[in-house]
Amino acid sequence: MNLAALTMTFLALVAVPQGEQGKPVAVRIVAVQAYNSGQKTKQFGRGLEEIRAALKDIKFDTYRLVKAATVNVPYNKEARVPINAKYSLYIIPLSKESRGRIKLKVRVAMAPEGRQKKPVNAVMTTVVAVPGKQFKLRGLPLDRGELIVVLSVAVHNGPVA
Amino acid sequence: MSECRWTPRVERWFDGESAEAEMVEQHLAVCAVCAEHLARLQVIRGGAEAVAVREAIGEPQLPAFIDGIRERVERPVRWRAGFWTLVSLSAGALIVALSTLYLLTGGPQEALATEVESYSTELEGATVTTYLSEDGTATVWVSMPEKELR
Repeated sequence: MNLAALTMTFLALVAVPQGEQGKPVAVRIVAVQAYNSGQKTKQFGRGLEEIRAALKDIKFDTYRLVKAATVNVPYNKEARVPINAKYSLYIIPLSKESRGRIKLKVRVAMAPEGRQKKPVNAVMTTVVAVPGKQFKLRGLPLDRGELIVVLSVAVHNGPVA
Repeated sequence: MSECRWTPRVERWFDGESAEAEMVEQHLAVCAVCAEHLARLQVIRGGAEAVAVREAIGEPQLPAFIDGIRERVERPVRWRAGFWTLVSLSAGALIVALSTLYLLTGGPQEALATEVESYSTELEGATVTTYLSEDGTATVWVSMPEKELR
């Protein structure tokens, strides 16, 4: 009886990580406009508390929230998150990797301008993300500064930083 | 050890298989070698008989004997033996479970950082690089041509 209970506990423990593969990936997105406004210390607008550490290395003095969202994306499905009229973010979770990490393809597409007829992929990247740890895309021009997109992932109800 | 040609006859007589008992007895009376051999045979037989004696349980001891068997059969298994068996099984199962989890998850995640496997841009004149900031945040950085940022 005891042996049977131990065996079932063991199987349950082993089965949990494998079962997570089918669950959608929760992706937290915070898009920020960074620019200089002549401030002596860095000024963060409302809603940026969760990403202040990720902005530490950026030299602009003013940060303004453009978009914050959390989306649940199934593996191998693409989710689109409009950031503003100019940029849209696309995310495809590809696979679950070792140590609970998640491989995903992320791109920021720029709406057609002038004679362009199709959106342009302003940046495309494939990352192996650690759940709960942030990563960011930066450098795309936005008004008088640049666009910064901070992302983090989690599986199901896990941590989304 | 010296031998006498009567030795086989003496042994058969000793085993009760001799048809010439009287002659053997007469020979034993005069042959020191056979007499000594007979003495050895008697010692061996005495030892064998001593080993073969079994203790018998007499009528008076029988109730106590039966009670002893019953007590031994009905005595519950010592709980400590069961406890240690359970502890051993639990420890074994825990080691197997933790090892399997470690293999499946690849170990602790504290030292992990997000890896940027590939990066590119379709923007004309732009370049892309990647770096890891001091706090461990992986960053993909698009650098635009100077005129774009004005």
